[in-house]
Amino acid sequence: MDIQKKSWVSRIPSILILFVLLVFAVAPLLWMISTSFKTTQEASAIPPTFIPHSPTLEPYIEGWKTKNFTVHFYNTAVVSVITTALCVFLSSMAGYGFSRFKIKGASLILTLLFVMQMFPTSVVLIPYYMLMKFFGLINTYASLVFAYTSFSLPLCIWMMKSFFDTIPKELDESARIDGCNPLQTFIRITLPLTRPGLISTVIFTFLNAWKEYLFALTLCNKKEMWVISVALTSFIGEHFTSWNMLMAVSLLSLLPIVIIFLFLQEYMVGGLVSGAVKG
Amino acid sequence: MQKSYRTIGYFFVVPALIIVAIVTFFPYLYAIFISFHEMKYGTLIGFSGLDNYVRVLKTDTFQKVVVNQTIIIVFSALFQFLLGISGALALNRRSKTAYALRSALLVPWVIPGVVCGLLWKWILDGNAGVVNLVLSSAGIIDKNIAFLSDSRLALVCIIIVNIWRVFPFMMVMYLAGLQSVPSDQYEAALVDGANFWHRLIWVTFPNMKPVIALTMILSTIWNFKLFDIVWTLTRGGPSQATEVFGTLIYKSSVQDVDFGFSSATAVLMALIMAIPIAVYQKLSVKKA
Repeated sequence: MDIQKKSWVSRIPSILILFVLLVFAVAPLLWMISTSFKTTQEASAIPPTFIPHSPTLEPYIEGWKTKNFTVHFYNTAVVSVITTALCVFLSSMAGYGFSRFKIKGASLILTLLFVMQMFPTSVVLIPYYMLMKFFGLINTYASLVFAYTSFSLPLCIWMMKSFFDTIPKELDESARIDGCNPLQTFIRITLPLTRPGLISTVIFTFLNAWKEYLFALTLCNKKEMWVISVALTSFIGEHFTSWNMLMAVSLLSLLPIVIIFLFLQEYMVGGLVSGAVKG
Repeated sequence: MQKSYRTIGYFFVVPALIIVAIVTFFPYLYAIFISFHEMKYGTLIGFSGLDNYVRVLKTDTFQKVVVNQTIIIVFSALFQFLLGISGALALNRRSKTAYALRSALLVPWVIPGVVCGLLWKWILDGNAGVVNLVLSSAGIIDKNIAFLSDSRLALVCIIIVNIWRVFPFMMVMYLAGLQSVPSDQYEAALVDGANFWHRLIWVTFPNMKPVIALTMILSTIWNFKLFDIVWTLTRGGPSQATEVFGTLIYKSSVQDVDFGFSSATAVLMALIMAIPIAVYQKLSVKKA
């Protein structure tokens, strides 16, 4: 945000704020980590201990093996990746279309898209289940991909449209004069400028698909088709919960996401190419 | 524009709209349709007009829900904004540490709702929970507090967990928004002698109005739809102290199989939600 180099002293408020935020955000995670290395006995001890007396990797290994998490990981990954790809593709096209072209009924459609966000998805659950049953798509990746894509699309379309709106139309026009057709203009010129928007869309859609529980539980109820969030709840029993294994496997399921986000940080530099067009 | 150029626009827009229409739009219409009919265990009996709505509005659970939701929404939105914008401002630089910290702060958002609820339920537990351990070791309390069984504290806990979960998303959105603020405006402000707060109020916030409005709208919508955290932590209790629309709809549709009631509640919820959102829309118009 700032051009000039900040002095050490002026950094103090940021550091303080960051420290507080970090403690708030991360402390529960640390507790998760601590619990994940405890033996089953120590995990349910009252009062609880901060640092495990005899740390062990058993919860990780046992937890993964007994619930066969490789399968669940694969399921979740497939659904999330396909959903994200589909959603980014469709929403960037739609956002571009709404931003650059006169579409009949555009404001009505956009308002409807917006209004639909306000309905709880649990109301859609039963009709959607019946629809999927009709097409024989229960316990398939497709049922989840369609559902998640459609949940994320309205917001992503809005997001991409507002990012496209910030790019001057003159840019499109100069590309057109140079001989590009709309598709080329879209892919080569405007789309790359919306990188922060695309990244946000990817993060948002991927995470929503990864974390979802209710629809995954209902539509993919066969054990081999479980996603991670559904499989994690199987650690909770009527009378006893394996907290250590639950925490351990939850942490493992977070790793891919953290890695992806770390990787995407490089691309979050954006901002307008302010020199390209001077209005 | 020639006609052929104009129709290309539809090519861009239609695929997305088809999916949304089939999966969510038409089922929602069906749900609204149901709300005006009487349904017994999934079978349509007949048109019943506003009966379902009257039923819903008469229950005092509904009134409790409106109160709870208002409290949750106001406080969640406020702190989600504050924490999100602080994080974004503090981390808006291209350094490896900043990237690492951003990922660390993203953790609450990334955890599946179910796990989040269970984790916090464990943390807030009246006997074996960490919070009680910390508070009593520090000598602040002498007896363990059953956070989730106390009708006032339970709501506070829900709000805290909700803030914890959502502020990272706000931070990500604000980071993207911060980077689209034109740097020449900052340069101009510096030349005019503006300090940090001046720049924040006169350059940053005006340029970020659309993003802030969007995040506040999202926060409002999500807070209205809040379900998984509440369900895992308190199931809406104790005695409806934390009952929200989500739990009410879930209970009436899945437990009572009273689809007329749940659909009517959903419609009412959407109507109530429209008010603050319309206000945000008016406020978010970016002045040229």
